Amino acid sequence: MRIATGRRWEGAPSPRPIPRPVRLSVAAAAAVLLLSACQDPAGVGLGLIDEEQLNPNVRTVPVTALAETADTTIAIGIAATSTSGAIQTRVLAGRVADPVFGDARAVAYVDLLQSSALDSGAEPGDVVDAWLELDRVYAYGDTTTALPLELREVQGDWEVDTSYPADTLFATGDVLSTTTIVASDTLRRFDLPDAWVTANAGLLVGDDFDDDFEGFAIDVPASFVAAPGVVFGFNTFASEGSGLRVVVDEDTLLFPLSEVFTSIATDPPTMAPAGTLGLRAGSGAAIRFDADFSSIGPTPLARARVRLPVDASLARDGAFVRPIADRSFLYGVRTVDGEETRTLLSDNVLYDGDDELTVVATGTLTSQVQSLLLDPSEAFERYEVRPVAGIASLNIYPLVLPESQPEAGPRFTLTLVGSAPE
Amino acid sequence: MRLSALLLALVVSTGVHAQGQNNYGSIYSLYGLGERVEFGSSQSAALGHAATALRSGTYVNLSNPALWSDQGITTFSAGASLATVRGEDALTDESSIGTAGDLSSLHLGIPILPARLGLTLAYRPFSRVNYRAAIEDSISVEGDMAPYTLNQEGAGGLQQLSAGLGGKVGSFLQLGASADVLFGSQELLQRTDFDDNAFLETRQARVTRLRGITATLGAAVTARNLATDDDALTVAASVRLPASLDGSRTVTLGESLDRDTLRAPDGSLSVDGDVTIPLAVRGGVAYLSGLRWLAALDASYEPWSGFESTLPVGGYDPASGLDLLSDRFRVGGGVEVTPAGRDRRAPVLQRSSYRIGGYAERGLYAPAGEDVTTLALTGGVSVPNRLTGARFDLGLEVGTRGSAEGVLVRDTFFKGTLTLNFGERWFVRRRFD
Repeated sequence: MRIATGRRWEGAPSPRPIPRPVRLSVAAAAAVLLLSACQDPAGVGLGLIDEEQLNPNVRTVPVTALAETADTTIAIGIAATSTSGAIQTRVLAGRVADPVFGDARAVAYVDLLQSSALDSGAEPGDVVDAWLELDRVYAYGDTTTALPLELREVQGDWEVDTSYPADTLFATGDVLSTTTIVASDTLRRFDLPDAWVTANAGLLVGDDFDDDFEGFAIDVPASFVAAPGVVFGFNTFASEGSGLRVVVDEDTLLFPLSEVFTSIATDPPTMAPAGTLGLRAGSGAAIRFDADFSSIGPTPLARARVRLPVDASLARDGAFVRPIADRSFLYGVRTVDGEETRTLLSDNVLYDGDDELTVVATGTLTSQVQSLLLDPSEAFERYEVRPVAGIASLNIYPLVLPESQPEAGPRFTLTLVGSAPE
Repeated sequence: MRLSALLLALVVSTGVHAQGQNNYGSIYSLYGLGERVEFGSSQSAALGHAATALRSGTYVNLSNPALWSDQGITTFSAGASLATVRGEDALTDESSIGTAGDLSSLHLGIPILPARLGLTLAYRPFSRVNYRAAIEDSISVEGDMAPYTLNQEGAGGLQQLSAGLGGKVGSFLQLGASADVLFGSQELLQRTDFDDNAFLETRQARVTRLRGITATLGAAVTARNLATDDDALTVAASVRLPASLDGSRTVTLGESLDRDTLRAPDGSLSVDGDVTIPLAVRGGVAYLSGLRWLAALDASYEPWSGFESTLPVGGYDPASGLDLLSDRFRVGGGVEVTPAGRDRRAPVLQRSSYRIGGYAERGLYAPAGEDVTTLALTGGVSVPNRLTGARFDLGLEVGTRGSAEGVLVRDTFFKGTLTLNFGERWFVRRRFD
C-alpha cells in the first residue's frame, strides 16, 4: 500500500500560476467575510421576548436594632505624623457645655522635630526669637466664643502609644504664653517669652532636641467657664502652617509637629434628643445595626446602598455648631472559628450635607451583599459604622431611630435585576 | 497541494475569525433548541439545499448516507459561513443588524470499495442560537432615575457528529446508515448594564447542556439512460430517527471565570432533564444530464409539534403549558450547469460549475399563533483546480423570514459560504514489474 505523494518528476512542467478567477474569488470572499460590518441590535423583537423577569427593581431592607456599641479599635493615643498608620491630622483644645450630646473638654499635646534646615554650626547665641503657630480648621460649640488658651511645656516623657485612655492628662509646667482665638481666626500664634527662648536656645540648636524636648500643651485656663464655650481644632501639618518658628540669625526656621495627642473627656448628655440615637464620633462608641436579606433570595444585584437618615437640625442651633461626622467606615461582623472578624464594606460612608449618611462608592458593598444573597451562610451577624480614625473631633451621629421614621428610615436599598430563579 | 493547503487554511481561519464576530443572528433562534442548520454539501447549499437525491463523485452529501457509496477517492471538505441578518418589526422604528459566523462543516470520506462502499465521518452544526434583544429604559431608585440597557442574548446550539456507511446493492439501489451524536450547550444570558458606574453590570446565564445519539437511514434508487445515453434520475429518501437527549441546566451569576452557580430550589447545583427531538423525513429527486447540467428537488418534514422537554426552552415550558413550536416544512430545488463537463483541457471558467436555486420553509415556531415563512434564493460557483483536484466553492444565500406584523420580526438575511473540497486517491496498491 502506498500513499500517493504527488511528487513531481524531472521534466514535468512547472506548476501554472493560480488562475485569475480563483485569485479574485478568494480575494472577494476573504474581503466579504473579513470586512463584514456588525452593529449592535436595537429593540427589535422585544414582542417575542419574555422580559418580565428581567426588569430591574428596587427593594429596601430595613435596618433593625440600631444602637450604640463599644468601639475599641480607634487609635485614641498618640501618633507620630511620620507614621501613616497612626497619623493624627488634628488636635483639639477647648471646653464646651452641651446638654444634648454631653459636655466635653479637650487638651492638645504637641511635640516637635528640629528643623532640617538648621545650620549645623548654629550657636545658642544665634537664637533670637521663637513662637508656636497652629492652623485652626475646626470648631464645635458656640462660634461666637472668644476662647482663651494657655501654652505650657510638657514635663516628663510621653511616647507614641495607642493604649492611652482618651482622657489622659500629662504633667505640664507654668504658663508660657496665652492667646485668645475666635472662629474667624486661621493661623494662631503663641509667642514664647524671651526668658524661655534664652534658657532653651542651646536645646533648640543642639543635637538632642528631638529626644530631650517633650513639647507643649494647649489648654483653656482653669478659670474658664464654658457657657456654652467652644472646642477648636488645629491642623498638625507643617504644610498648613502649624509648627514652632525659631529665628536663628536672620533665618526663621520651621520646627514641624511630630507626636501629637488630644486628651478628650466627655460627660453623658442630660437632654438627649428624642427619636434619635445621639452618639459622638470617636467617643469610644460606634453604631451597630442588623439587616435581614433572607426575603430577597439569590438574585442578581446591581447596587446595594446603605441610607442612615440623620436629624440635621441638631447640627446647628444658632451660633452653636455640632459638625456631623462627614466620613465613616462600614463594617460587617461575623464570627469565624469562634472569633469576631470585621469585613470592611465601605470606607466612604459620607454625610450628604442634607439628611443622611450614605455609602457613595458602592462597589465593595454591592459585591459583599451579592455574596450573601447567593449564600445565606455568608450573612453578617451585625453591621457597624465607625468614624474615621486619625482625625480628632467631637463630631456627632444624630441618627434617626427606625421607630421615629417608619417611612424612609434607616435601610439598605437594593437595585436588583429580575427575581430569584425558580 | 500547496494551493489546497493555502485554501484550506483560508477557509478554516475564516471560519474561526467569523466565530469571533459579534455572533448575532435572527431573534427566531430563541425558539426550541435554536435555528435549524441545513448542510448537505457545498453543492446542495447552492441548489436550495436539495440534497437527498444529489449524487456526486466529487462531493459527499451528508444529508443521505445512502449516497456515501458513490465515493471513488478519499475526500475531505471544510466549510465556513458568515451571515448577516437585518431585523425589523412593527413595534419599533429601528432595525437591528447582526452578523454571525460559523464553521459550516468538516468531513472525511473514505472509499472502502470505490464506488460501492464508502465510509464518512462528518461534523456540522445541527442548530444555532445567536440572538440579542436590547431594551433601553430607566428605573427610579428612590427618586433618582437610573438609565440602563437590558440585553437578552442567546448563544450556542447543538453540533452533530456522524459516522456511517453507504453501500450499493445491485446496480441501481443504494442503502446507508449513520450514527449521529448530538451534543452542545445553549446559553441564555441576561445582561443588565446601567449608565451610572455606581451600578455593577449583572450577568445571569442559564446554560443547558445536551447530548444524545440517534441514527439516520437512507435509500436511493437510480435509473439511467432515460432520455439520453448519459443521463440519470435518482429518487431518494432519508429518515433521522427521533433523538432523546440528556440535559443538565445550571444558572450562573457573574462573568467568565468568576461565575457563581445559583442553587436550584432543591439545593442542587444543576437541574437534570430530558429533551426529545422529533424525527426528520426527507425526500428528493435529482436528474443529471451527462456531466454538464443537473437539477434537484427536495422536501423535508420535521414534526416539532411533537417536541418534548422536561426543561423549559424558548417557546416551550412544560410547567406553564407554553408551546409555540410547530411542524417544520421545507421545499427547495436548484439547477447546476458545468459548461465543459469534465474536459480537463477546457479553460477554468468552462470547467467551473454555476448554480442557482431557492427554497421555502415554514419554521418550527409559531409565535402568537402565526407561522413564520422563509423564502430564499441560493446560488454559487465551484471553481476547480486542475493540479490538486480541489474545488473551491463559494455560495450565497439571500432571503426573508417572517413579517413585520404584530409581534413578529421580518429578517432579511445574506449568507456567504466558503468551502474547500478536495480528494486524493489514497491506499493505491503498489505495482511491481
